[in-house]
Amino acid sequence: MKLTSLIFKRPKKRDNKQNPSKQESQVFKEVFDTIDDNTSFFKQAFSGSDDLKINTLNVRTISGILVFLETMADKEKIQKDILKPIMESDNTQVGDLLKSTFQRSTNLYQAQQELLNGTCILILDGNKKYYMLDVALSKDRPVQEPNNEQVIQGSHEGFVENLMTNLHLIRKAIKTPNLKLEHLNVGDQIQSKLSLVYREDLANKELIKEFKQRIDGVSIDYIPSFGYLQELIEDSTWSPFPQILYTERVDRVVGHLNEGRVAVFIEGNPSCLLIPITFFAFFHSPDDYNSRWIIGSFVRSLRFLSIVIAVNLPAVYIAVIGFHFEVLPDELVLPVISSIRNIPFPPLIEALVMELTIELIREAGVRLPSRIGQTIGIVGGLVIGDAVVRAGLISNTMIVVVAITAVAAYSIPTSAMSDAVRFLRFILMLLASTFGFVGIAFGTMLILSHLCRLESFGTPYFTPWAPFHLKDLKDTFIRLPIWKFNTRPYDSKSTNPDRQSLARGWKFNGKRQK
Amino acid sequence: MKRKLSTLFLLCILLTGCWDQHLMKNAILVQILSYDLSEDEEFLLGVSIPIIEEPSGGPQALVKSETFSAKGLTPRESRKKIAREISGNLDTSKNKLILFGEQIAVNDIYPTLDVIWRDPRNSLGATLGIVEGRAVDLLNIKPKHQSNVSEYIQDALTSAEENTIIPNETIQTLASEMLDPGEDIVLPHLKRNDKNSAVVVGLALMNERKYAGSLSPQDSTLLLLMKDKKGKFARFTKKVNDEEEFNINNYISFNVQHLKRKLKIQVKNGLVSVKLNLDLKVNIEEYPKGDVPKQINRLNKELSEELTNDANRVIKTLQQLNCDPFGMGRRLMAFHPNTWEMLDKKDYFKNIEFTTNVKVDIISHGIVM
Repeated sequence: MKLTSLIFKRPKKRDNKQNPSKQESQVFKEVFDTIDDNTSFFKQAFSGSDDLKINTLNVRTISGILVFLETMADKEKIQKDILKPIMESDNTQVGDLLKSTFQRSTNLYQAQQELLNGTCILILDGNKKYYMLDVALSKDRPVQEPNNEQVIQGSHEGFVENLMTNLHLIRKAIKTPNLKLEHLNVGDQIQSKLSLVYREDLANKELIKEFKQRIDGVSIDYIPSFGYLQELIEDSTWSPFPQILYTERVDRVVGHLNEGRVAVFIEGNPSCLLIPITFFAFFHSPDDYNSRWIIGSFVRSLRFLSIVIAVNLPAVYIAVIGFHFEVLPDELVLPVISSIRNIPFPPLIEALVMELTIELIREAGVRLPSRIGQTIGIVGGLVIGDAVVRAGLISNTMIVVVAITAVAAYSIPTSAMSDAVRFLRFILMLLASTFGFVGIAFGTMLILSHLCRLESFGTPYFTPWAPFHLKDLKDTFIRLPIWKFNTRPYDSKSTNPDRQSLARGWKFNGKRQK
Repeated sequence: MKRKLSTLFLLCILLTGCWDQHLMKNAILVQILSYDLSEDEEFLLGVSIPIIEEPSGGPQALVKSETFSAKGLTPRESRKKIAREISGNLDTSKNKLILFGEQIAVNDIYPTLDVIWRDPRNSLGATLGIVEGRAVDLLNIKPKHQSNVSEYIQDALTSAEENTIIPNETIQTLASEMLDPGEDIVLPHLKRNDKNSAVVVGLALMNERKYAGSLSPQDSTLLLLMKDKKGKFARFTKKVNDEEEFNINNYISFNVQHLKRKLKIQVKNGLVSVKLNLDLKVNIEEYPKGDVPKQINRLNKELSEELTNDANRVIKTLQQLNCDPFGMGRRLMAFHPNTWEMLDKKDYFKNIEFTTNVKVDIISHGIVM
C-alpha cells in the first residue's frame, strides 16, 4: 500500500513546481544597447563556457558581434553564408541582405535557446533587433534499414537521429497538404522537441487534444529518449503490454498515418511513437502487405500461434509432468518418462534454469560486439544445451520445449511485445507448477481480462476482438486482399472511415461492357 | 505483523497446489493389470510395468517390460503388496489393458473392476479381455519382435479391432452395458500360444457379469456385423465349389464393404420375435477359379445361404449361453415395457425367436475377372 500511495502522490507535488519553472523560461529580455552588455549577457548565460565564441565584426560601417557555439555551429557555413555575403555587399545592400537571409527577433532568451540549436546570432551595435541564421553542424547517420525491424521486400528506409530528416522522410512519402506537423516542447530544465504528425483529414481531434493535454501535464527535468516519454503518457504503466507502438520503419509509420493514427517524433531519437494502437498491430510487419495475401495471412496467423506457444508451452509442459501426465498420448508417455526419470530437479526449477539461461544468452549476445556475440550464442546454445543433458541435469524434452518457446517468442516482429510475452511466460510457469492446468487456466483468464481492460489513448487495446468488430478482422489475424480494405479500422477512430470504394474498378467496368 | 501476514498470504497462494502435485518422474506406470484366482481361491493380481533401458547410441530408448504379481484379498490389497516391492509409486493412469483369467471370469468380473471406476486417477481408456487359462501367464510371454508385452498385446487387439474380430470398446463404454440387465457384453478372448506369443481367439461371451463361452474369429466377425459394428475390414473365406481337385480353388475370400442391418422386434401374445436382416455389399478379394461376373448370381445366392446358416448358428450359441449382445432386453424395456414386465428377466433371451436373413451382393471383384 505504501508503495502505491507514494507513486500516486508524486505527480501532485510536481504540479506545484511546474508553473514557476515554465514561466521562468518564457521571460522576455530585450537586446541591450551596448555590445559589451550583450557580450556579458551571453557569457553569463553560458557560464563562460569555452565553446561560446563571440567574435566582433567590423566591416566598413557595420559593427557588431557574431555569437555562436563552436560545438554546435558549422564554421564553414558561417564563413560562407554570413561573413562572405556581408563582406562582398555594399553598404546599402547590407540591410536588404540581412533582412532577406536572416531571421530577426528581439528576445535574448530566445537567442540563448537558438544558440543551443546551432544558430549563429548577429547583434549589430545600437540595434534593438538581432539577426540569426541556422548554421547547425550536422553529423547524421545516413538513412538506412533499421536492424531490429528488417523486411525481405519493400522499402529499406529507416529513421535517423535527426528530427528534420525523419520528418522529411514522412513528408516525402505522404505528399498531401493534409499532412500536419505540430512541434511541442517537453522538459522543465532541458527541453526536448517533439513533433506531432498526423493527417488533418483523418486523425481524431479528441485524440490529439488528449495527447497534448497529457504532454502539458508532463513535468520532468528532461526527456532523453522515447522510453521516458512513453512511460509518462501511456495509460497503464503497470501493464506488461506496450500501449504505444514504436518503430524505426518509415513505411510502417506511413501506413499507420493513413489509417488515421498519430505519429510522435522526438528530436534525437530514431524511433517514432504511434498512437492509438491495438494489441494486434504489434504482430504486423510490412512484409505481410508486400507478399501475396494468402502467404501474408499464413505468416501472420503463424505469429499468433507463436504467441500462444511462447506464453503457454513451458507452463503446459510443467503442468503435464508435474500434475496430470495422463493427458499424454500413449505413444508419448514412455519417451517422456524415460527422459525425465533421472532428473534431480522439480519441473519448475528445471524449466526456470533453462529459460533463464536462454534469457542470459540473449542478454549477453545483445550487449557484445557481433563477433563475440556469435561465439556466445554457440557456446550458450549448443554447448550448454548438450552438456546439460549429458550431465543429467535437464531432460531432453525440456530442452526441446525451451528451444521451441524461444524461437516462438523471437518470431514476434516487435521487440516490446516479444519482451512482454517472454515475461508473462514466467508467471504462467509459476502458476502451472503450483496449480497445474487450473493455474494456467486462471492465469490465461487474468491475462485476457487484463488485455480487454487496457486502453491506448481511449481506444480499447484488444479491439477488434473485444469489443468485437467483424469487419476489422480483415487485417488482424489474417490479411485479406488489399481491395477488401474499403474502410479504415475502427480502432483508430478516424474521422473519415472510407478508404476506397472500388479498388478493382476495371473488373466491374469490363462486366458492364459485356 | 504486516510482514507475517503477507508471507502467510504468499505461502497460501503458492503452496496450496503442491498438495495435488503428482510428479511424473516418480511414477511407475502400470501398463497391464491381470486378475486371476489362484489355486487356493485367493485373488492374484499381476501388473506389467515398462522397463526403460538407456539408449546406447540410438535415439530411442528400448522399452522392455517386467511382471510382478501378488496374492491378496482384493485388487487394492494385492496392489499394496506389489507397491512394497517396487521403487516408486504405482500409477494406473496410463493403464491400457485389464485381463481376466478364465477362473475369475467364470465367477464375476464386476467386483474387481469396482476399484477402477471408483478411483478417479484410473484410466478409463483401458480395454478388457479374457484369457484362456491364467491371465498372469500372458504377461510373462517374451515376444521376439516387440520387447514390451503391453504394446504387443495392445497392437494385437488393435489389428483384431480393425478386422472386426473384437468390438472397439473401453472400460468406460462397457460400464453401462455391463450393468444393464437388458444387455450383455462380449470381450476379446485371448490365448497364450506355445511359441511365446498371444493370439486373439475370438470373442468371449458374457452372461451378465460371468464368462459363459466363446466364439471363433469368423463367427465373431459375423456377430459384430449383426451388431452393426463393422471395423475397417470384415473378411470371410467360404467354400463355394466342390468339384475342383486342388482344394484352394474351391474357396472364395471376400471383404464386406457396406453393411446395412435391419432389426425389427415384434411382440405377439407375449412372444417376442426378432427379424434380423443383413444386407452386405462385398468385394471379392480372392477367387482362384476366376470369372466372377459369370457366376455372380450363383455366388450371391450361395454366400447368402451360407452366411444365413452361420448367423443362425451364432444366434443359437448365444441363446444357449444366454448372452444378449444385441441389447434386446433394453429394446423391450424401451418399446414394449408391458411385455418386459411379464418376461423372465434372466432367461428372456433364450425364448426370443430369431429370423435371420443375410443377403450378400457382390459389387466388385478386384482388377481381374
